Amino acid sequence: MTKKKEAIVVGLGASGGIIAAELAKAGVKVTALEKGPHYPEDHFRDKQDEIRYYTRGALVPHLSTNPITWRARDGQTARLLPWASGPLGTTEPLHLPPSIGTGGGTLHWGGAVWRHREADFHMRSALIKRYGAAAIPEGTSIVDWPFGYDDLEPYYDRVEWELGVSGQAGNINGELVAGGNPFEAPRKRGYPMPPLRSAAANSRFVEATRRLGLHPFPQAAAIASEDYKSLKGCVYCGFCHGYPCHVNAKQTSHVTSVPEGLASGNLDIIPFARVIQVNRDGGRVKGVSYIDAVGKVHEIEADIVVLATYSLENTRLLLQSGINANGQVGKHFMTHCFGWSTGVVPEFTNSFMGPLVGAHVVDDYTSELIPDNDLGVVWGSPITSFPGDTQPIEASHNTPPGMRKWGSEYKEWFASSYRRIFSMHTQTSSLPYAGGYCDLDPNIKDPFGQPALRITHDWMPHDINSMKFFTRVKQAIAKEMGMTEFWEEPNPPPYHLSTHEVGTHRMGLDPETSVVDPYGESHECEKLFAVGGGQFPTLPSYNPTMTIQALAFLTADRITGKI
Amino acid sequence: MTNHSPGSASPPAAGVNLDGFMFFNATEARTLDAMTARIVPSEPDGLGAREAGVVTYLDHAVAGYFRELQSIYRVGLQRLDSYCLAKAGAVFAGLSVSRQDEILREFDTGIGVSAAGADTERLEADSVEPILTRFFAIVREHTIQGMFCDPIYGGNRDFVGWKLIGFPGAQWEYTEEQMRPGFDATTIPILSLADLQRSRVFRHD
Repeated sequence: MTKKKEAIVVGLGASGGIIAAELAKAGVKVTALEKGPHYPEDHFRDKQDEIRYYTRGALVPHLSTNPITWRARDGQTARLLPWASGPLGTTEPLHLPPSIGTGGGTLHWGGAVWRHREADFHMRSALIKRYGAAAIPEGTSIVDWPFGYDDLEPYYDRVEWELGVSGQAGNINGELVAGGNPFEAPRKRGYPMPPLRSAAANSRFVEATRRLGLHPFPQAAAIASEDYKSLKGCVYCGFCHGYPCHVNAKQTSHVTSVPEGLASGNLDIIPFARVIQVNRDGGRVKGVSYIDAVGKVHEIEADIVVLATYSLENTRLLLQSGINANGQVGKHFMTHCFGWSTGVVPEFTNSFMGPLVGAHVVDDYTSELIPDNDLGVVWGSPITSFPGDTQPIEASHNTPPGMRKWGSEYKEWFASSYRRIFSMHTQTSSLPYAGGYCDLDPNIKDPFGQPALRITHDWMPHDINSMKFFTRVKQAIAKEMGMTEFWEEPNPPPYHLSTHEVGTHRMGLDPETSVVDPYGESHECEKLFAVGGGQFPTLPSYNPTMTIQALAFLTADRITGKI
Repeated sequence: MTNHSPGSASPPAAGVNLDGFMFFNATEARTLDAMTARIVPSEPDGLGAREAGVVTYLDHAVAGYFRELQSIYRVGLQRLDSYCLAKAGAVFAGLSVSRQDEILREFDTGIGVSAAGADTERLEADSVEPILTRFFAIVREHTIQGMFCDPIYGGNRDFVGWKLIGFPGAQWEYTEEQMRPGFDATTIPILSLADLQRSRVFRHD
């Protein structure tokens, strides 16, 4: 038994990195337990390697050591994520479980950042107001968030300015700003850096959507467009989503936050520490048990424990530790359906250049802005241009349906099309259904003897209809763009995880119907915080990470007594 | 050149695929050479799996990273030859290219990678030779990897794969001019990861 710590932070990713650094800077002695390595800041200088990072997923823990299982519905036997552990030996298309090591998922993320819309914080009320109570789909647990946009606005601002975001404001204090998103919620000030440059095909998207009467604007990006604080300006190498950054342009907590924590002298990082259990003393947290790099089990005590291990692993640890008195842990599982749509444009646009988020978006149909429609879709999605950041092996997997994926025809097609590929995607929100949940798998264990997390989830009619709705819009855009070929991913898609899994340790004011309070503290176990996307009561169609970061600043303020 | 008749399997070009093998025996390497040459043929430009040294990539990968796939490679290669002997009277590498294509089509499920795991059991259950169905999907995927990997992995020799598709490889950066519509990226000298590592100049350090 070692000396009692002041605070333990488990996981140094998007939220854990921020919380560890903020606590340490405020004078709290923090011990951070990180499942992966402690990367030096210049570790990734030669990351231009598709086999290493994309095909073989060098940053992510593999399912053999960190198993997650899936089944569509109750009564079936779950198996290791079949779309990510197939016989081909690739980890793509998804980086799940997310990257480990200092930086966590922010090592490899695309860096699309969004402030949620005002309506995203009160989806239930908004639906009832527009359609009546009958519009809440049966079997769902759609609720309002326990706070609103105005409460979180100062924290969004901190993410943008303390960590660094590139973008173009569209609405500052109610005044519309030309070039930005005319539909965005009011912000107090603009972004600290201008938008990123885009790969060439983006200009066709911008022109086509304008001609269609839509309102394209540059995607806000957690990638520096010029030197900013500890970040360096992006050099547009194109090995971006799924890759670490070689120049530290990507806003990654191992660059933005961890070094600040270490500089305070109050942050101690234990790498390769696999937490296996949260220990408690009655109604209060006592500490955690972890396995170190050589397989030895340690038990350490602390006044405060913060679980920041991604929604799924947070959920597994809570369940494995028996912290689930009200049965809410693992419920309300939500994820995104991407709606990948791909095609070919006439001229060379060099789809391998620039970051994923050097791109424009249209928000005309997002969330509550979706028009009344024949498909019964009640919550919409942004439509995002994806002009670059596509390496050859990834591109080879996404070819027109019906074409044989080998032989002369394939070779010819790929040779002539690779430099002209363009994609668009949407991100329709799944709703929290009773049939979508996580629990401990009764059959499959990890090599350390602990049960895998089991996901039960199927795509529901609202998901499928949302995909259909947006396929129509994207087809119209593709036509207007003059694309020579255009195709869609299957609806529903084969995957059931998107890297945007949320909701499984829901936050709320009522201890009977939620797991944590608005600051991420467990209702059941005092001074235990479970943070990240698992807190989300509903899933907007925006990428979740900036809200996860904003919530992390909120939690840090709470723990340090600032609020 | 040899005087083999049109339509018969062409032998590997001299000097190609003779790097030495860590895992495959000579017969296995010959079969894989024939298979991968059908997946990305060399015609008409000489930019195919054979020139890219894809079998060397496969050998390095299966000997190391994909160790758990050693058994499917070994069993699959033997089963393919016995299937071809029974059905066509010769081992795979001894068949004409058109016959090779016909045989491979029998085991091509056409499924993409993301759907592969989800649909594998169903598709394999429908197959007369489930092992060959899986084996072909794996070899197809690994052939693509061997075409387009960085040359440090043993494939994409002389940037054959990257030249085929106009990809400049492991670039440190792209300029604003290079990112404009219509820019011909084949004007950018192709770089390997080894080039970056050799002449590392950190503009931002």
